[in-house]
Amino acid sequence: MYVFRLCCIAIITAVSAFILKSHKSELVPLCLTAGGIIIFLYVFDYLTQSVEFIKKFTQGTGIDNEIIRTIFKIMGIGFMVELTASSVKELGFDGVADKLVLCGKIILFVVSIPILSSTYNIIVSLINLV
Amino acid sequence: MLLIVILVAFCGITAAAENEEEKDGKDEIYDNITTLLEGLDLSELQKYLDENGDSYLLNFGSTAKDIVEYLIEGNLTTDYNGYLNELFSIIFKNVIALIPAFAAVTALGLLSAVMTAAEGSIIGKSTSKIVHLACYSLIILIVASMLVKIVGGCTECILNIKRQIEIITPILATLTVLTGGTSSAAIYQPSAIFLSGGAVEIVSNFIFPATIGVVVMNFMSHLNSQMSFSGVTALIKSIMKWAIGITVTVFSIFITSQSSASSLFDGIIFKATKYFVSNSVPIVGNFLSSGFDMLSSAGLLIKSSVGVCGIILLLFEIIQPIILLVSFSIILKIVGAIVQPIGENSLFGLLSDLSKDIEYFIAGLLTVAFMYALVIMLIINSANSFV
Repeated sequence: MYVFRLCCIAIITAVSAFILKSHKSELVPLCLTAGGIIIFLYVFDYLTQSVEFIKKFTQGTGIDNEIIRTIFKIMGIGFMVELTASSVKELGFDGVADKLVLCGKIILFVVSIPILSSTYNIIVSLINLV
Repeated sequence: MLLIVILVAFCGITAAAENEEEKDGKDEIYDNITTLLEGLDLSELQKYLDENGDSYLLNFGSTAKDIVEYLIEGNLTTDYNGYLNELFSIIFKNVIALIPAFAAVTALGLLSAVMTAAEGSIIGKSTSKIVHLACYSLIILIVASMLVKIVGGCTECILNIKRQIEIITPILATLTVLTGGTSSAAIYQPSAIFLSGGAVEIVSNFIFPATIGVVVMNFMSHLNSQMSFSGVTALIKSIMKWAIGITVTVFSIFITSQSSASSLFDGIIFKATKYFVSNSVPIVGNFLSSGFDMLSSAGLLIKSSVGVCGIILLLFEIIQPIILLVSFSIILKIVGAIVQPIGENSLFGLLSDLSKDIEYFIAGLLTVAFMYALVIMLIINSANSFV
């Protein structure tokens, strides 16, 4: 059902953009951006179920659940920033889009630090075993 | 008629006398066994059993002496149900616990594949790289946290085997001397020292750390494709192969050739002593010679029983880490096979390399176990031929 709705939203967005193109072409980028946001909101809602699934499985390994949440945060930030940047680019503001991507990368790096530090700690404990 | 009655009566008397003689011989051997067992120092074995309350040997008796006595009577039956239950308990307790973590690794692999699919069209390459780095870090974190537990178990297993060697071999060497294997004992004791001091140290201080080094370098190589350690890891693996091969070959050749030579020498000395006692001591010479045989037979029975105890302890010590390592390696290969078709070649490389590296832990454990089992088998079989 999710996929069906998703496809419907995509078709409606495309048809609306096509109609707007001949009557009010300046509204086309806005229409496409709105459609893209709605599609991704649907997908993120679907993704929360996967978070619970992975969280449940990693409980036995002794890894902090916060780290599992972080990986989804990272993916979410990546998608959001890139999509927004492409929408902003479509509106004709390339400079703003580039700045957004750069800021997004900085945020991604900062959010990744707990995972990287946990990986470092586990490798150190592996080395300390012998 | 009278003749038949006399013949039947005579046969009956002879059979009864033979039975009586057999019973007397059995009783004498049991008396000798009891006397020898009372004098034998099994305190270290008892201490080890007390510390390991879940040892399978405790199914045969509550004390070390009881267990040795139980095994002397040949009660080690082929209880396949008991062995299978022990095997299944290991599989269900430890191996099944690995599966959820690997399910999480597979799910993360799928997420990473989604990211790869979006690369270029929806997401920029540099952003995708950062997300991939985070995904791979998390996968390495999950796999390494399991590996830490397994390698910890392996190190503990090696230390326990070392302790078992230090407990069992002196008892076996004492019993070898008792059964006339003086020069055999002189060989087995240094070989046991080499085994516990040398081979165990080679495995625990070289093979295991080197394998961990290889695993860590593989992790680094897959986290950053620009950083490659393939040459170094190949070199370390090659050195490890040679070290294991040389250790096993040198030790096996040394101990088997030495033991066969010393066994022959001991046999000649034993027979010469018996001949000397039976011929040089007047009247009771033959009696003393037979008593010598009885005492040696009792010693051999105890030696075999203690050896079997050592083998059982070794088997139940090694089976758990080996099953865990083999399962871990197989599960890594399965997950690799799942993620490769969805486009995660790098993750497949990481998992399959790790699966191959794990085999060095298995090789290290099996080397120590093989060498220890060889020493026990040779000690059990020494002096058997000349009594």
